[in-house]
Amino acid sequence: MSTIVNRVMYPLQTSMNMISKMKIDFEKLQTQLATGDKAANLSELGGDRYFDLSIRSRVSRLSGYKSNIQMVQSRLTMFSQLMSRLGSLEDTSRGMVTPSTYGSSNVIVGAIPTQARANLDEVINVLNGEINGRYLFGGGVTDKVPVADTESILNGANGKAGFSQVANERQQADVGSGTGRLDITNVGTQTTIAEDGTHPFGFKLSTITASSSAITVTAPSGSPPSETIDFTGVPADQDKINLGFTLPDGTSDGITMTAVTGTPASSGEFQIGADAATTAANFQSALASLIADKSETTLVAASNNQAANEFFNGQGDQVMRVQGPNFATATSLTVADPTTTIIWYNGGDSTDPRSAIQARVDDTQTVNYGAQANESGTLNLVRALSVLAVQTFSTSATSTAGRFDALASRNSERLSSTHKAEQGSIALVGIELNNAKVQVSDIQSRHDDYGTQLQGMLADIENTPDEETSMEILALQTRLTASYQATSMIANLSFVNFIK
Amino acid sequence: MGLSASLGNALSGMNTSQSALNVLSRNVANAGTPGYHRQSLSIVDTQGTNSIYARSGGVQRAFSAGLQAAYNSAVADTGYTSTISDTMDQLQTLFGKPGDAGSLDTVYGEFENALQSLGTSPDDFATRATVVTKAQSIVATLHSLSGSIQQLRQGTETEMQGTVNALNQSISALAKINDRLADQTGDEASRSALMDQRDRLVATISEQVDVQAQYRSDGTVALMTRTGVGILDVKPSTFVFQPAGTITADKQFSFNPADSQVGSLKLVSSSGLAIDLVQQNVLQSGKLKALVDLRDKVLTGAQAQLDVVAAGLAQSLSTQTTSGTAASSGTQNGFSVDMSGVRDGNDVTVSFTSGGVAQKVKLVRVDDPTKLPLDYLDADGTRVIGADYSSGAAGLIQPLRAALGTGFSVSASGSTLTVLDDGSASTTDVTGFESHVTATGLQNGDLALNVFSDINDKDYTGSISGVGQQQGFAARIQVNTSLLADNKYLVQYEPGGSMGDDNRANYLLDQLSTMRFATPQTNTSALGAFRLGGPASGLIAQTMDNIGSDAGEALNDADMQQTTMDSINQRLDGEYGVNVDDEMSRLLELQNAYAANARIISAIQELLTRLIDM
Repeated sequence: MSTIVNRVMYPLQTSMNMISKMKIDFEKLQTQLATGDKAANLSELGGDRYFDLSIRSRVSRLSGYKSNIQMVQSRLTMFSQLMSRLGSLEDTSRGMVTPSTYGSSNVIVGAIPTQARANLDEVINVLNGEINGRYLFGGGVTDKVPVADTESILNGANGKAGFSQVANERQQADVGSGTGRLDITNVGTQTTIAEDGTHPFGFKLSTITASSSAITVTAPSGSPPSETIDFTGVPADQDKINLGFTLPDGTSDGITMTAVTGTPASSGEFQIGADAATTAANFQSALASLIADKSETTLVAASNNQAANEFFNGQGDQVMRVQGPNFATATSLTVADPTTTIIWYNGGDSTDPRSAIQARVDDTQTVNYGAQANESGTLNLVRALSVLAVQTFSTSATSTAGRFDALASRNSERLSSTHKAEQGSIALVGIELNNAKVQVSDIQSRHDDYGTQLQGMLADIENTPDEETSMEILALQTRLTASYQATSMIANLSFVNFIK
Repeated sequence: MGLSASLGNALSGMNTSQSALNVLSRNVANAGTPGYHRQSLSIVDTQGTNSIYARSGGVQRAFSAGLQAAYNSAVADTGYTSTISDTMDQLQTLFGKPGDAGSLDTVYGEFENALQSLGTSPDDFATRATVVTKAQSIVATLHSLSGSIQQLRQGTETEMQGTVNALNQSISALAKINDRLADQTGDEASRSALMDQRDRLVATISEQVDVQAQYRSDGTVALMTRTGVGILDVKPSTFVFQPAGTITADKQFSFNPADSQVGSLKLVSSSGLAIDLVQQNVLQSGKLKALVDLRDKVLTGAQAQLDVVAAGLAQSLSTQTTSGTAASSGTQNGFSVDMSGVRDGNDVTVSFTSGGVAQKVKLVRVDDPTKLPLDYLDADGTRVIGADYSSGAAGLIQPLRAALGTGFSVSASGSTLTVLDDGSASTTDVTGFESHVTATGLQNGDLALNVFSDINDKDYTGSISGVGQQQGFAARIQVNTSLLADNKYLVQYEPGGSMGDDNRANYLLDQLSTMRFATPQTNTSALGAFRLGGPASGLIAQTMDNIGSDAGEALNDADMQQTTMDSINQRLDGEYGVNVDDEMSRLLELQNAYAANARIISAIQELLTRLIDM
């Protein structure tokens, strides 16, 4: 234990102490040369210690950001591929629904549902795109498949109703007994058109005008609304009655009834009778048949469209379906029960889908790159394709062309490029995600620069230049050699050696 | 005057030369003996009846009481500094260098990175598993560091035991030497050898305990500590060390002997009077003092820093910070906070400006009445006040009002506490009022999560009841076992929540960088005292910096002390050491003198022969 005392009490030459100290320095320099590190432990880092620690924690955080950025980059790359695929699917789908292109014997029209179904399949595949088990189009909910599969969506599964059933129920509700839920009656000289109840289905009366002094019309009123056409006299040839209707999907349709003296050549004409009452009766039957026609074409198209709007719910909306059965006489919609209805979108629903996913790529900056399948662009694409996919266009039925035109005009409007500027359109989402990508790249290169600077600072603190160490070793070697020599010379210079 | 006188002179000269040679040969023989003091023969001329002859005046042993005192105290200081520096060197090696694999800052950085990744991919099982693994490696590092520190403390006790044994042996040996020196009948040479032995023993004792040696004229020595407690005065006292068994972080020294849980070190006088060397602060330097300081201050301080780090980590992640709701009354504005969930050790904090100076008051819940009153400034300058929360918000009005001073109105309603400024007078402003509450469950909607917990999954709330939950926490901290069983809790803060939700991950990450901790302001100049403040990563960096700078300082001290020791050693060598060159020239001198005396005798013999032959 008494190491100090023994060392001290033994008259060890101080010069030997110095030499052993030099030897220790020598070994230290050797280690430095081998490792390149200036300090071997905490205390040797000296005054730079805290600086070193804080730079290191900074560097570590940057490396965390870097791996985040890499992850986000790969997701954004995936996004940009998926978005461009969605964009081109939107284009082809739009091309499909050009009104009046029926093909010979409606052959083009006949093929459209199959095509639409194929496109829908792909759209849904894209929307269910995932990278490492993370779903990209589910907003904040990344661990669940955001969109149900095409077959379930269209045809239902496990006893739950799909779109075709929901659309069919809505169609029954809208068409009613074939008159679009309108009652057209005639009493004497007066024809009354009335909605058959207070409900959102079928034709809704909106406007009525007549260009004849012999006809008095009363605008729709009451609940349920009704309007009347009163033939106060016999109308003249080519006198017209314009009736405006609002369709279930919010579009409007007009009917013009023209009074003719001879036998009506086309629907939309009624024969002027001998007196007002006969004329009214003629008018009533002509109108009823026209409405029946419309119920098979325009109304069905509008009904299917509206069913799509209700089944494929957008941001913040609920899935609605007709309260039934006895859909033909239904009077209200109800919120769909997930146990009986396929819910097409199961992802997160945020009013600002982009900010639903935030990546920490910097101390202060976050990059928002969430996307939802129920944003307007993809929502409308799914709606349009689904409506088309559930149609059956008979090449022989007379209503085919009319129904197709009505569907085509509506859905080409849905997919029109005029919507590009709307929030949530495929183009806009693509641009926003691309912006995020650019932002992330910028941050990445800033981090890289900063990281390089920090590494340089660390190297200044921790590393020692080899040349410097070598020079120090050389200098120390010289000193050590000189000391050895001097010590041995002094040791030889003892008086003992000179006594004879 | 006659020939016989000359003969007498010459004979006396030869005699003294012989004695001188005897001394000289002893010097040369012992030139390399540790602790050998050079001897010299003093020769005096003496007036005889009709001659002046040379007579040996006795052997002198080189000795300087002043130098010896300096030497003894330097040995004690060297014993102190070298013991401290040896242990500190070990300690800093345990912590590793910044950036070393497994060093505290590295494992923390990796944990933070794992949380960063969790924010980006909360739905990925592997990412969550990484967070848990990294949390475990933090725990493992803290455990191993605490374990090593406690082992070092244990080592100090073992060494104290050994030191005490050696000390007692040295002291009793010294007492025997004293007895023999007191007996003046021994011959001078053997007395010198005894004194060498005496000085050696005093130095050996000095290395362990700082002593003052009083050299008496009869050659005996009395020892007492520098503080004046007698160790040896004719009769020796005995050092008694009673070890405490296994040392853990919880076992600490206390000035109250009943509370002290470490080994006791006593000095028992020959009459049986015992004095506790640590309680009475008797020791000032020497190895024993170094061991006591290491055990009770330096290593305990290092452990306490680790505990602060562990507590900081646990609380950063588990604390749910709730900002108060704005409140007003007339022109007075302020905030209200609900204190019902505040647990023992949690707090509510008011930020305010008074007279333009921004200040903070933290009202900590203290359930242990013996800890009250509690009122101190922490390292960040926040005034921390302990409060009894048992009587609800109403019970907090009084302490808060006292802490805030004039210009504020404090009121309570149910569990809601409201602080308002002075309104139109505008000398005060309440800028914030928030509660910091430790999360209670895994999925009760709070983003905060008990990632780390105390032993047996007890929540860490920072309670100061009893010895305080913080003491030794670094040795007990563990990863919440619920997280080990199912890492979904890192993401799901409500039952059935989305696994893609990054809110909890980001909250945890934010808390690590924003939640600040501060230790109480203590006497920073004291050994082992420290002051930490800042977020969890800052606490780690400061701890490593503290350990590094303490180790550096200890090594420097030891180096400097060694230099002092070297210079004293040189002086000792000059003063006491044998210079063979000197001795050799002296030898020539003596040879000549002897030859000359012999020549004189032979000349006198010639003269006498001539006289007789006449």
